[in-house]
Amino acid sequence: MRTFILTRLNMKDEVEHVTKLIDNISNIGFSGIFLTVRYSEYGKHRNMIKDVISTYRDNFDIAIRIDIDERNRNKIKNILTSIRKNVDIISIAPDKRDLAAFVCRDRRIDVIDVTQNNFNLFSDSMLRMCRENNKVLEFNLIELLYTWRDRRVRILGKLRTVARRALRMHVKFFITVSPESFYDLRNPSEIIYIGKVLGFPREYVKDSISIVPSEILKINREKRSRDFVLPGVKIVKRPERKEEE
Amino acid sequence: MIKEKKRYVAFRAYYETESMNSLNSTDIIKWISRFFIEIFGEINAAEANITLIEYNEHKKMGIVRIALSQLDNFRTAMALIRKYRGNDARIEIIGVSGTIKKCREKFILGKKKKQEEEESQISS
Repeated sequence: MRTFILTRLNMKDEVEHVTKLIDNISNIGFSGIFLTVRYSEYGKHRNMIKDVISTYRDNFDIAIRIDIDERNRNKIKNILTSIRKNVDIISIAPDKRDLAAFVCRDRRIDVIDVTQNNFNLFSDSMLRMCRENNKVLEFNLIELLYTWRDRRVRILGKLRTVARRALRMHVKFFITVSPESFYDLRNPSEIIYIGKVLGFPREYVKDSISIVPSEILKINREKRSRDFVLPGVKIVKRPERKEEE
Repeated sequence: MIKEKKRYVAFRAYYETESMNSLNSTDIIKWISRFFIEIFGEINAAEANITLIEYNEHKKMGIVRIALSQLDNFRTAMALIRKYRGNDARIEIIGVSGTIKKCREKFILGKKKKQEEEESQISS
């Protein structure tokens, strides 16, 4: 049986609001979420995240996702060094071509957000680079819910262009509707139908909210474990330490 | 002449009850069909032939009849609904069925579920 994961739920200052949303999300058919926090707010929210995760320890899978909002390459490198071992998923929304190329090449970054500001960065060559470096694109469809007529048409057109290229280049992708309130919540089947608007086949959209995120999460959690050495290599048994007499 | 296939869609409306008066069946069908036209255009809407079969204002649940060929488009349009006259609102599709009777029993009244639960209780 498929398990569905909502790949973006933004962390807020009010924990109650977030826990209410998580309750609703679990009721509509998701079995996990990526609790997303911007890097600049990570310090402020760290304890709250721990509280939220401990509340749902047994029955709902919550992964921590950091959205890096820094634009300087050296600073991003420092951030990655400091947080890679502590969080499950790292994403970034590059706004310039050189930054996008850097993000594609850095294997510590998992997800690249497709936003209104960076549609034009996703050329064929960039998408090929994404595929070669195993990056995942994220299409956040929340903007489609909040825009009307001309504006919605424009956004949809651009999203469809990137989606068509991504499909042609076999790049993995997430489709999400990041909910801010109860009225933004969409169950997995609704997300699949909205995803079809972008021109993706139904099965691809289904995978994008189930198999793709869970595989990435599994790999990253494996990497974070103590026994991990290399992809495919792990310590099976550690030698027992002899106590000195 | 081949009769066009149709489906019955059970839905639930969510809207802010504090700032809005409760919506009656006319409001609901106008809301749904206008939104469908906005997304998929008049030709598809004409083919869809959206008809409201029933709507319960207290439960905020209802049944809509739609042409099978436009069912996917209808579901997409309903998933994209986010506002009603500037207020927070949305429509959730509960289920789809081939007959009104089954649609009503399964999704609106929830009879089948109750029966199954009772049977399982008796058998256990």
